[in-house]
Amino acid sequence: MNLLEVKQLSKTYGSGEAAVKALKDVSFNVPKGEFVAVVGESGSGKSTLLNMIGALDTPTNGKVFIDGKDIFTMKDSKLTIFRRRNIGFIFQAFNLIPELTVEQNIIFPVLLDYQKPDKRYLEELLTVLNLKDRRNHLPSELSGGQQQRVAIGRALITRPALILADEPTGNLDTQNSSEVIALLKEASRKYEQTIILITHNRSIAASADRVLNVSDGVLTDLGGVNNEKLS
Amino acid sequence: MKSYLSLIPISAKVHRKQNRMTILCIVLAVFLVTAVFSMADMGIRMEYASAKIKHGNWHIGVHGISAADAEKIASRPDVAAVSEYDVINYDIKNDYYIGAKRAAVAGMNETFLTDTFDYMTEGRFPENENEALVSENAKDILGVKIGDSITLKTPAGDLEYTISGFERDRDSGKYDAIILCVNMTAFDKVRTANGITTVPEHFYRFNKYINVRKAINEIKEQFSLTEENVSENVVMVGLSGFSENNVVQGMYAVAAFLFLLILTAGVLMIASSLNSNVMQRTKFFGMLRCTGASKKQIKNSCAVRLCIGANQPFRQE
Repeated sequence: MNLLEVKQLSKTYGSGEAAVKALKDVSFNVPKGEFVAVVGESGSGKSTLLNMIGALDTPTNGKVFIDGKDIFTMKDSKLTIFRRRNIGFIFQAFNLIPELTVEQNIIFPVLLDYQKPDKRYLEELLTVLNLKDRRNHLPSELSGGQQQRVAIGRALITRPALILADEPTGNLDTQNSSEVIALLKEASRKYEQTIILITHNRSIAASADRVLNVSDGVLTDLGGVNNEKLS
Repeated sequence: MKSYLSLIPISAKVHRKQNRMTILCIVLAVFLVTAVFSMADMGIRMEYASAKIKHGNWHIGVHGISAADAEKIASRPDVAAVSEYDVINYDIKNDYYIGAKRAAVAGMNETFLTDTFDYMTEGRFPENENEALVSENAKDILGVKIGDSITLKTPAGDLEYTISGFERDRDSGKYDAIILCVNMTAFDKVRTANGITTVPEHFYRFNKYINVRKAINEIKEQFSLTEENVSENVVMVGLSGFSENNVVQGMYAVAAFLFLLILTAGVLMIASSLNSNVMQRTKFFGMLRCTGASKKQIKNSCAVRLCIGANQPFRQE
């Protein structure tokens, strides 16, 4: 069964002569547990695609179904709750809350859901992410790789069905990049989560189950389980 | 950390110094604008008080109208006070004497001395026909005090008065004469006895915040008055904001410009302080939204932030 179904997704910024078509009729499906890499040159529409799927932005046309639910027919409050519980987003710039410690940053989405964090799961995450010794440190006291691991932990804490990562290794060196990708893949296998990851790194793309290419708003499948033309 | 709202006091503590600066900027801007406008207000009040003493507390003087018309004008709801004034032998040419000194006789109602002008220096307004106020120079010339009797010699005969008070020397020093001030009943007696036909002048003061110019024009129109019937207290009308005098209108324009300038400066100072705060907050709340906070949770965070800011802007860390 497909966790994610994208149907004829389009996004146009601006109007008239200044209009920019960031996405043009993008359609594809992603089954549960798959690790998908999205590649493309700068300005091709990769981040726009991820923002649409993550409901951080609204499309001009098209639909996105996550676990069978059309997310853009939901009201804002309901969509926020759905996104909080089912989608984990990892940003290139980490976007950690600078005033909170590592542990507080990770459990923050759980607190937003008025839940108590599962302490055992939290300890497990901190161990997997190799952050146990840093749990009470602020983001400013961490390296780039450690901060990105905190961001991964925050994305995983609610056990979302879908993880979206927008160039999570963009600000990291080679070693940290490898470690972060390895962590994501392990989490994907362990918790059966679907991962869609934007990357410029060919080796990271090569390690994915499937690679989608976005070029000038048009998406094509470069290789995967079903070798289909998508738009 | 038990709730997402726990983030707010943590954040407030970290940004306390910056929040203090923002609050300080806003407070200073408000104080500055308030201080400038207060000083301007004080200046105007002082000018007003000085003008009242120097020029009298009235807006228009109307003469040459009947008592009935004067009464009608006085009954207008925008008129705060009306006083009456008339004088016999103003130029001190006729044979009116007190002792060896020439004299002028002024008739007035109580409002003239207690509200319109600040002439009385001692005693009280003459309440009956046999009482009078005299100019201060009478103390030296005649050696009199309150309660003493004085005699006014007129062409029609002598009249006795008891001194009820003194008024400051107006034109008495200039003309080397004594001025005798009586109420209108006593004045009418002197006037009638000496066959003088004068009509008193009426001084009107309008209420605060009244469009004085509009009121003056209405009175002129209603009673068919000309420029010769109506005299304006230029300074008082100018201070009320409705002068037609070119110089005064120029001052209005300068005052309005300065008012706008200071107000704009104050608003910009406050807006600039808030803006830098808002931009930082925009990034912060954007991050919270991306993390999964709903709009309601953002609003609650702002409310908590406001309460913390209101209670502890300058608490020591």
